Amino acid sequence: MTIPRFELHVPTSVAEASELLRRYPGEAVPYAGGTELLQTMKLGLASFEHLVDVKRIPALAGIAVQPGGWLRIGATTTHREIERSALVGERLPALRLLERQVANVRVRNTGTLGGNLCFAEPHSDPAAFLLAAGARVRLGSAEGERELDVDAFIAGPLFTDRAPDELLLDVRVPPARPGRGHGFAKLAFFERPAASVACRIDVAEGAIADARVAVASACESPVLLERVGQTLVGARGADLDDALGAAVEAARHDVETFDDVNGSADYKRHLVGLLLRAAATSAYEEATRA
Amino acid sequence: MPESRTIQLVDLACTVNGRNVALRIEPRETLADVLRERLGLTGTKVSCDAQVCGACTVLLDGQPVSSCTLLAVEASGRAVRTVEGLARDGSLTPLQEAFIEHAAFQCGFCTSGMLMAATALLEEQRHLSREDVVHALEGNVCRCTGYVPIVDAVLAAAEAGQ
Amino acid sequence: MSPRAAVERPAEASLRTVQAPDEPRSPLAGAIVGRSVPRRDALAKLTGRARYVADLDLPGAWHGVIVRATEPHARLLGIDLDPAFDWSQVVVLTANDVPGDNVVQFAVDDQPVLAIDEIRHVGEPVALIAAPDLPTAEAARDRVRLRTEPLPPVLDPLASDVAFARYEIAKGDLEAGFAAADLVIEGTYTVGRQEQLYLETQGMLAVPREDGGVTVHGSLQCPYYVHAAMRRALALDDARLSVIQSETGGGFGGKEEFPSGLAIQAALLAIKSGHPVRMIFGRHEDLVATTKRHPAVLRHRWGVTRDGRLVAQDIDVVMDGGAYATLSGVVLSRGTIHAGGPYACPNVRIRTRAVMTHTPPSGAFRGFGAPQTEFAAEMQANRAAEALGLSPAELRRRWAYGIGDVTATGQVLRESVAARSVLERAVEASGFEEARAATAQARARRAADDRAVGDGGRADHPRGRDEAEREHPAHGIGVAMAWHGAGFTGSGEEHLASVVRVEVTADGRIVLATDSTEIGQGARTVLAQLVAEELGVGFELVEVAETDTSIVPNSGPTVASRTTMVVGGLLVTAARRLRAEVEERTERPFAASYAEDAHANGPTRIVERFAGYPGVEWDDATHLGDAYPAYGWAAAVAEVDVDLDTGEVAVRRIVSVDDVGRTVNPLLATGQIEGGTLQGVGYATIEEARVEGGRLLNDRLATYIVPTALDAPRIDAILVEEPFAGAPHRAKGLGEIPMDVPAAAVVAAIHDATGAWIHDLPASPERILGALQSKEHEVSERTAADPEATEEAVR
Repeated sequence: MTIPRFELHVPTSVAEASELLRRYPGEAVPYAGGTELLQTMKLGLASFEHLVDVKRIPALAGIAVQPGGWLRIGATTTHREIERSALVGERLPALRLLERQVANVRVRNTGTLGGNLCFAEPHSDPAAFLLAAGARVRLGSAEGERELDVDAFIAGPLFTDRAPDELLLDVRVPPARPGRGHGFAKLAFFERPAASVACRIDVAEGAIADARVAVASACESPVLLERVGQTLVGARGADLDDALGAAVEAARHDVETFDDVNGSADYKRHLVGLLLRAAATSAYEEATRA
Repeated sequence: MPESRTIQLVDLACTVNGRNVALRIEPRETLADVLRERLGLTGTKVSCDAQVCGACTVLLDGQPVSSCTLLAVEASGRAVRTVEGLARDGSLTPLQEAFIEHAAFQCGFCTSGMLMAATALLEEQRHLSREDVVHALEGNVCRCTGYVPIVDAVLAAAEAGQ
Repeated sequence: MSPRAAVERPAEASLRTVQAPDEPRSPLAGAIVGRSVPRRDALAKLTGRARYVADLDLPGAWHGVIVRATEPHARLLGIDLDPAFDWSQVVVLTANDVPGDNVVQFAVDDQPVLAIDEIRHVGEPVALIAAPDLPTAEAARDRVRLRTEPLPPVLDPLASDVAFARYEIAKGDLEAGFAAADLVIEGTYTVGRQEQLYLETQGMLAVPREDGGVTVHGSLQCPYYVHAAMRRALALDDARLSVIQSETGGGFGGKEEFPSGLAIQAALLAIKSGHPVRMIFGRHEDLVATTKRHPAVLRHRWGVTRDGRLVAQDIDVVMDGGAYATLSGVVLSRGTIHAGGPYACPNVRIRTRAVMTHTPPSGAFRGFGAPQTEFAAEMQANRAAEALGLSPAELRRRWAYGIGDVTATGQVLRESVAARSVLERAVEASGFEEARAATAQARARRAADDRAVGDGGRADHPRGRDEAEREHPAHGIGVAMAWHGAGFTGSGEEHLASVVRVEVTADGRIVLATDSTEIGQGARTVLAQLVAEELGVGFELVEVAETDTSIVPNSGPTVASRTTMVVGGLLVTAARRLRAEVEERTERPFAASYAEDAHANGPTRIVERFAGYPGVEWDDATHLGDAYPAYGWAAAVAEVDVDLDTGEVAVRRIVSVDDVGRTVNPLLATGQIEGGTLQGVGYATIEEARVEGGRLLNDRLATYIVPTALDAPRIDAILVEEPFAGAPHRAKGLGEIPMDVPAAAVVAAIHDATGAWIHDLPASPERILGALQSKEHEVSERTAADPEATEEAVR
């Protein structure tokens, strides 16, 4: 299938890019790796007259640790860069593991974290992870910048809170620290996950002080299951298993799954429970590792 | 959209299999389009056209990418390598030799992509386990061989010091 | 690159068992036959120089696209062209523009080249468009509106009252058979649609000729099928028609019948536009528009005695043919003949039908009806073994066909029956009985754990197993067998009357000419090996003529595991005649004298036509007699790991033992087994083209999933040689049988791991979980029941 004709713009600053997006309302779209965008254009599911390439904007690039220990990942960072980043490997081993399993090596080489988030694709494993991790995104335009939770950013299936003239600048993940662990588990057929669950657990004085659980693929868009995380709070050593059981019940109750070729809604609910147990267990183990 | 709008053309300057290439292209042209239609390098195949099957895999600065869904302009200033660039002066690479010895291809349609994906892996990593090879190739679909001969061939090439 | 006569393989690096040519050499091997000479197409395919149809560069070629129906069943009232579009830049064709019969020729003349009054399936071609470039052609396609009036579709094959074909074959006395039975094993099985998923999509390039004719280049298996179909629809004579096979990126049956229609469509556009026209399908169009393996519902009732004899088989099969007959009749025929499995049974009734539904037509796919029916037969055999408390291998030892046994069509098996030897090799190579004993112990341990935990198990952790066990999924092993008739069914080969040619040209070249196509299986290599062996010349000296109908004779289609056996046999006979003729003249060995002879006496050309296998009798009217001149035999043992929580199955190892009569090229033969095996594993576990409301749901490669390197098991391919004396080179077919056997072996292994039988393919994780849950109920209900209750093993 042929990609419909468009004009390509290559701005070098956020202001310039934002200006371009504003100049062609409804016709312009930010373009980074193109893995999702070009596919939808090929299929005729979306059409844009102007593609604004954001990969030459320095403000959107790079992985770095910021003061306070937040890990900043620029929006144009590819999955492959994250997978291979020593910083990510040290601080967020679960994210690295997750990124290693995104689609295939070719998609990881071109696809970017920012593009993935901006598509709010239901199958986004990184989105599930960032939701659980309590990450925040920064958006920028000619008007200035704003920051919000990933949870607020992903507004629904294939829909985000980004204004048409805004760019996703970066994602910031709260500091890794002693007593905190991240876990991730998925079940995929071929490259399409049927369900994935990410979990962050904070342990203080031997008990779970905070837990966040997010699900992708099984539901219409990546989603944070707030109540599910809360069921784990207070659990410690011996009663962890019971708390996990309650969390599994809660997750299966709260998650809104759907039927597709990967399986029925019921089967996916079942999987979410299993994956939650696995993700939470590895998060807890990481959190309690000496 | 005004019908009278002029068609944007952009410069693409890169190397393909070590040779300089300078073209004026439309931004919407994919790397596979440019390789196949403008440069006549039809060894790169398009099959799923959706970055799933890997038949169109080429190397961009040594890294495997799906040329079917990559704009050719992304290759600007970079080195593109295709299956046509593997054998030098008529002599096959150890990987290509290993593909023959292990019968690692049948219909041949996935072969170019397999060779390129495996080449990237072999250039990056000398000591390969079966799991390494499977992980690197799991995004390349073959319908003929059952994969085992392909994985064997890559391991043999690693052994032979590709 | 110099041809390598032998292939050494590092023992440690390889997970494959290959009969390495020199150790141990087959007693049947010759100087060239039986050796793994490298493929003819190696260099071209490894360097990117091989030219597939999309690679053919023809300046000025236009692009053709198809306007397809979007409804499963409708009356076609009209075709409207958007007046806002500039139609002068394109060519548009409809059914009225077909100069000959508006029919894609197969056995039944029901499928039009372009729909005329009635739309019978989603994706049916209705109009054709060609334009100088693809975007224009696609834009024009979007401006065509089909005016239709919806009609009620028939979507359930069991509710269809239109049958494309029906067969009933019977032998013995079924009633008496069941009367003698102590146990009746009953089962209903379903198998889904499977997509061939050749990596190269369908494609055709038609070039108009000055003589008013047309030449097509395409990705195809059967040049003369295409040729015949074009002649009919285009009303052209042979002189103005050529079909040239370009390098073909896989077929598996998917390029048996489908290319005929596409070639006509491309040719129509080329003739109308006066330009060459390329039609290359995208993957989405290919998935939506092309044929799939027939889905089927299979009902079996088998009578078995307590001492383990099979005394009755009553089998009922319904295949869904889709909207048009295509090859349904012959697919059904092969499925029917193989439906009882490779087992001797005195009393048999097999009733089958292939029905019409308003879904995309089903068609040829490796195995051609046999994978469906043999899956059900093997399920029955395995369930019978369970009911009798016998090892499934032991049961097969007793039941498998031997020399002198009589098949359901009344064929006496006189020679080349390797059923028991493939079974023994598979059982031995896999360590089947030892592994089975180990899995039985593990199953008993798990059952004891489950009882200990009782009802206290959590919902997410239903079996109450400890963490260590969770990390070690349940392991299982299973066996299945298959037989596969080589060549066309019944009188098919006689009707085909295939022709081949072997010649020494005037300039002293040796050329073999056949329309048998190279589609990846290695036909060009294997056929050249056979001829070189007979002539006593080096393999590299035998050229294979280009697959162009203006050059090569009609040797029949490249299907039905017939190329090596039937076409190869004809070539061997032709080569023998050629050699004799030249040697008679020169009184010296052929190899030393043919070139000289050609220069002195001109070319020598031998044309050989098929004249029947000795002693083969078949009655088309009753569908009884010698269904095939010879059968291939196979046994497979599968080992799987099943995750009892998610239902996921990982197939770890398949031992596939296949009898080929005589091996021509061990490495290529092994490749056929490995490739067929993985397609069978896909069929068993993940592959299903799901059609709902007449529409394909998984219409992209991201959703129609096939096995990847990650899913590929270790495959031990073992070749067995039980020579077929009826063929001059004693070889039988191999292309399909490896596909017939894995599915039932995998499902048996899943049962061995879990205790649950999956009756429906694919055995998806969700189906496995469902079966596990219902098995738990079943077990608890049956615990205190009378042992007699197991007599009737009803699904």
